[in-house]
Amino acid sequence: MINVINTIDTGHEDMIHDAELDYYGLRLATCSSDNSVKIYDIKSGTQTLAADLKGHFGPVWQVAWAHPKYGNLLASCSYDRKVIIWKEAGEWTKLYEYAGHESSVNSVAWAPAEYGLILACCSSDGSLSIITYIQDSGNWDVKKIPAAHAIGVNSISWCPAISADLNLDPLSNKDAPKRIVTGGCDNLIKIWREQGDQWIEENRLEMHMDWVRDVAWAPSLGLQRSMIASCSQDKRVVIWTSDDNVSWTPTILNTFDDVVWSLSWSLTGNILAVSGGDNKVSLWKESADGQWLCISEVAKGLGQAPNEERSTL
Amino acid sequence: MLVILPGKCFEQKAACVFRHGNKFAIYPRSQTTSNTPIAIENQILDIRQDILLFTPILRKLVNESNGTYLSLQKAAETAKTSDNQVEFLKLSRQYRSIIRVCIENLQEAAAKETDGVNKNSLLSYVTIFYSIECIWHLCEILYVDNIPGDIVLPFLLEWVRFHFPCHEQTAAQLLEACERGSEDHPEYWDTVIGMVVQGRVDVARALMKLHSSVDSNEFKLVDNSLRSMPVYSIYGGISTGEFTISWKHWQAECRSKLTSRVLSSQPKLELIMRLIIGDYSAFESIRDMYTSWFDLLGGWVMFTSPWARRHELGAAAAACAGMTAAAAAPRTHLDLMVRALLDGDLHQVIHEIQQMSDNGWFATHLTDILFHCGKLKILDKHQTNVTGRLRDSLVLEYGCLLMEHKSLWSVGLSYLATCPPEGLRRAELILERMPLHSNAKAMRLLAEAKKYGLHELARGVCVCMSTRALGVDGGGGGGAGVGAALAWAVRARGGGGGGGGAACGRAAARALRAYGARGALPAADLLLTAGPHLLLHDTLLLLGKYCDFHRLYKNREFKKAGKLLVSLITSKIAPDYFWETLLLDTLPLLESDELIFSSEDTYEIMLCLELKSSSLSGEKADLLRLALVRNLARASLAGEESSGE
Amino acid sequence: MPLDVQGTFVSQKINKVKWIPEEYVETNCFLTGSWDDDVNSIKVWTLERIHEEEEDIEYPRPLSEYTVDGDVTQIKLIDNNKIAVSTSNGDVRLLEISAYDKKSPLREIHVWEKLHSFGSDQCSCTSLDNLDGDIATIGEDGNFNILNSRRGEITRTINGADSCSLHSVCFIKHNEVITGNFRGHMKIWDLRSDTNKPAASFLLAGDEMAATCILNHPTQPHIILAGSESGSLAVWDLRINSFPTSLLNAHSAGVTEMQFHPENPQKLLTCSVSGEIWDWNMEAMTKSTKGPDNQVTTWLPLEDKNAMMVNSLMPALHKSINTLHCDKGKIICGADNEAIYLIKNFKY
Repeated sequence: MINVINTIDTGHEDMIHDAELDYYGLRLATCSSDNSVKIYDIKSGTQTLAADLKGHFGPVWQVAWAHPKYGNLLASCSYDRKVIIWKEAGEWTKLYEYAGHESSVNSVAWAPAEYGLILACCSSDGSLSIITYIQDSGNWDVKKIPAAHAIGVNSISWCPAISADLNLDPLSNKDAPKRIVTGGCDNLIKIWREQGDQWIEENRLEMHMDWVRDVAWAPSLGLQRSMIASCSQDKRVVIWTSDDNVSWTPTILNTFDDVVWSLSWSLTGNILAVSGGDNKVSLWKESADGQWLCISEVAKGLGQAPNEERSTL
Repeated sequence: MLVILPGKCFEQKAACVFRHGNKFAIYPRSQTTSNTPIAIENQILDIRQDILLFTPILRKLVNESNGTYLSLQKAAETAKTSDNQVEFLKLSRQYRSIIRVCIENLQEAAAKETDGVNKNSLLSYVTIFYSIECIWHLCEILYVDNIPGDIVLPFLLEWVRFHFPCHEQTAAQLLEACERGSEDHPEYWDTVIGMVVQGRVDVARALMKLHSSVDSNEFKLVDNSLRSMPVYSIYGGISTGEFTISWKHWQAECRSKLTSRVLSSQPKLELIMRLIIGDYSAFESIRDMYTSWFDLLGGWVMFTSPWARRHELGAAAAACAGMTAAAAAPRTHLDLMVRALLDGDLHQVIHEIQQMSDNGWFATHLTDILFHCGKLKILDKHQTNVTGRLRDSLVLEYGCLLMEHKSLWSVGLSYLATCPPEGLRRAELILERMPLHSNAKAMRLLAEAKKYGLHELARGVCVCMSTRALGVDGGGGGGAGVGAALAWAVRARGGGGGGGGAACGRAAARALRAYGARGALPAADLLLTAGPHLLLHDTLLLLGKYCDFHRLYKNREFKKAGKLLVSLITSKIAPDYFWETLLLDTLPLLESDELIFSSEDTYEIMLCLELKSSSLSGEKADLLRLALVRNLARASLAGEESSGE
Repeated sequence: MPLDVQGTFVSQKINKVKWIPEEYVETNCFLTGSWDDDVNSIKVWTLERIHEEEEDIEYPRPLSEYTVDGDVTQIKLIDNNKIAVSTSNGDVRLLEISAYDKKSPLREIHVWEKLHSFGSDQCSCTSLDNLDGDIATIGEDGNFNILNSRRGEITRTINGADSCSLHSVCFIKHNEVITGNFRGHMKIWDLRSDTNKPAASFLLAGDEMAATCILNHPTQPHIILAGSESGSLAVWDLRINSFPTSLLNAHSAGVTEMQFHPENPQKLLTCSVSGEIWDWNMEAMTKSTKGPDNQVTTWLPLEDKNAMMVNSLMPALHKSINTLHCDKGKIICGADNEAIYLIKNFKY
């Protein structure tokens, strides 16, 4: 049985673009075309609005929670070309504002906490920014990767810190280089690697035939295998696997009826949620023999009152 | 599985975000904007899959079977060096007894339940666990137990009697009443035949003695046939070959008695004779008396091939399952599982039990025990043995499922720990996100992390607790959380993680700033007893030493205090914001009646003052310069005096 | 008769158990407090025979349930029908068990809501102790309160008694209380003193592990025992030293609760996160020296566990045993495997 345990009225005055749960699953941050970011406390079936953050002057596309060892920090990015890092210390305040892009900032992602407090973001101006907090000075250091994707970058995701570099003990693999995957309007997926104080393009993955909308690096399970999921306006979802983070093998998960907008991995990386333009969310799981199977599909019901949700097993 | 959500919610596109495990949220998401705000219901739906095993009654099963599972892992460890089949059998029986207790609890609860829907679901759980126990028992006979000589019949009969008790009560009643003429009882003959097909020949004979014509020749003949049936016993001193010969001889005799048509006046007795010679049509004719073909299986094996070995039961199962019943009931799940089991197709069995709605409890535990008994061999399409992988993937799924429960997480963890390395990595991912509402819970998590060697997790938890303690303090700006933050940071030390050091630094910096703001040093009790832990971070070291300076000063040990202060100044480990405090602290010592600082010390302080003059206001710096110069004069004078004498 | 152990699964992790004392009949009812679940509660149980023919087998049956917010962190008996309960949301409650009908729900006499707190944030009240109606409470906020159970008043508060969270507390005598913190820092408080400074303080060990429980000897209150998160145990005589001189490695993980047998203080019972429950023969720990007119007993520091006759009361569980309570030959203990165990025929 599947149950809707709770509905949260966000009170946003326009479309929601992202909703993210914090590290412990106790708080929900949402952002919307109404230029605001909202934070809710969710406790056993009830939710309360904890903060309504106003600071952007355009639709807010995405939000991202930092690791709690750095305190309660939330990053948001917007059409207004800005990234804002919010901090809770009694109240939520603006900790840092980054305005280094020339166009809409489409995606933000915090680096694995092991690397420190680092934020990556990407923009319609085609560039990426890596923003690092320097603890000793209390300043933020910015590195920019210009012309990463032609026309624009839509999505960015970090490689987990514990990853599958060959010949390294995956559990003590501290020295694996930092990696980022991006998806852009040039139909490409690119993998970036930090080398010294530079970020270099390590790989470009060609498969999609239209804009890449979302890329998501799967959580690492300490196995000698890395996995990236990508989705595109070509209606396809592709799973990329690698055992050395250098050579990548694509598998088409499925071709959908409509554009696929976003992807989300479950906590342990065993389930992938795919959502698309056909108003459906489907959950996919890899079977023991490497096949991807749809285990569940959540679809928009037709003409049912909110209490009549049904489930079939 | 398809979930249909309230329609009005999603005029826009839907997207999904995972919460922990069986919970996720769906929200209307859009990646485009329009020029005019669109009025829509911006609701987020929290969705959860109901987990059967989380109901209180079944939590008992979850916890109790966890104990057995862990004992089994230990037994498997010793089985690597010595045969441990007896132990496995004991544990298999333990599992079954746990299931039976669970069924009892469910029945009890169903009897008390007044709500119809709840009652029905409780009863459906009862059905599920009945089937589970039935299959488990048969598995135990076929794969876990060490059957002497591999002759399975007695065990098979026991299984049939146990799970499909039919006519048992009537038989007992009739025998207890012990009345001649019992055939008047409407179920008399059904009971006698039932006893025969269950292989309870003695009971059948005793019942026949209650028939009013027991002294007739026909009865004597059948009784004699039943009595003289050879029964194989491994300890009987005869070989299976010899037994087979005598048994076939006996059956031939029975057959000839039957063909002599002496029993034609007694159709029931004739039927019994036909059953014991293994006549298929006779068995088929009584099939309708039973709900399933399992009831007949024991009798069929007994009267066709009592010497059958475990792997020879497939044909018997096929024969019994093929008997046409008048009311052709659809093949049940249980049917399929029993058939697959008797056919020896364990892959199919496990596939079938994975379809049961018990959240994988059965598939996980059964696969695990069969795997450890070495009885499971499953090949994939490339003919590679994937048994271990199958067992691991089931245990991982089950473990992760339990980890989602607020209370059962520790049970889940103990499952994941038996599937290294992936299990522990998964555990780590889930545990580091477990909300920690109290120190007690955090400490328990640390104990578990230590038990399973999850040092990185332990460090992460300590650092997060340290950061949170500082956050608690955040509103007041005082030092209330600093002690806790430092204590947690110190715990995060070691193992080369480095996270602990940084956390120490953060907490120490907070303490120094709090002192600067309010003039009271927080966590003095901790700092004065921290000892070698101060070395974890420069700022912490400074804080600890500075605290000691205060102690010495308060105890009026000015010389020692002065010496310590100079060492703090000259070591230059203080952060910029603390220089003013450090330098101004020299003032009262410079002005004291007794000479505290030597001329060398004074020079050092002067040097630092000039280097860090930016951290002091001009007025304060001048005041300090003056005091330093005066002290220098006193010190030189004292130096001359002492050298002059 | 041999030791008889019987487990009952209760679908709650049990953090505290206490027998409910009876004056004229054999004790048959007990309390449990649960933790680490979405909803936690205090339950009253009775032991009863289900099958008349089985004389010795008694099963616990719940009689009443009182749900609380947060985890139950401590339950202490104030008298035969009153209990003080602390919870992880910072509350302390004084509850009454009906003397006539144990089935009737526990009745609230006093509730001190958010007695411990971090301003608006929740803070756990980690433990409490009581002596003749006075209740000492401690919390993660490092604060320490004395409550009067008869008048329902807070008679004394020491804010910031510790800069870390406090985890264990014990009355040494009417005006003296000992507390232990997250780092094993122990402090002795003289309640007659007006200053908020401890009369004495010392570290249980240098390992920065918490002092999880403190206990004093029922007939010789100057004998103090402390259990550590590391599993170690310390015993010392306050007349000789204010601090323990040695620490014994006992359990392989944190000591969760200790109790001297009420009828025979030579017997000590301990349980642990490692899933062990032990009884100790304390005779081996004392040395008697005959003085001119009376016998003086000296306590030796704990040295070797093996030399002290330690018995395991049941095979180690795979999960933590959080609590135990003993009444004559019956011991009850509660564990993280969501079970309670009744141990009968314990010789004391």
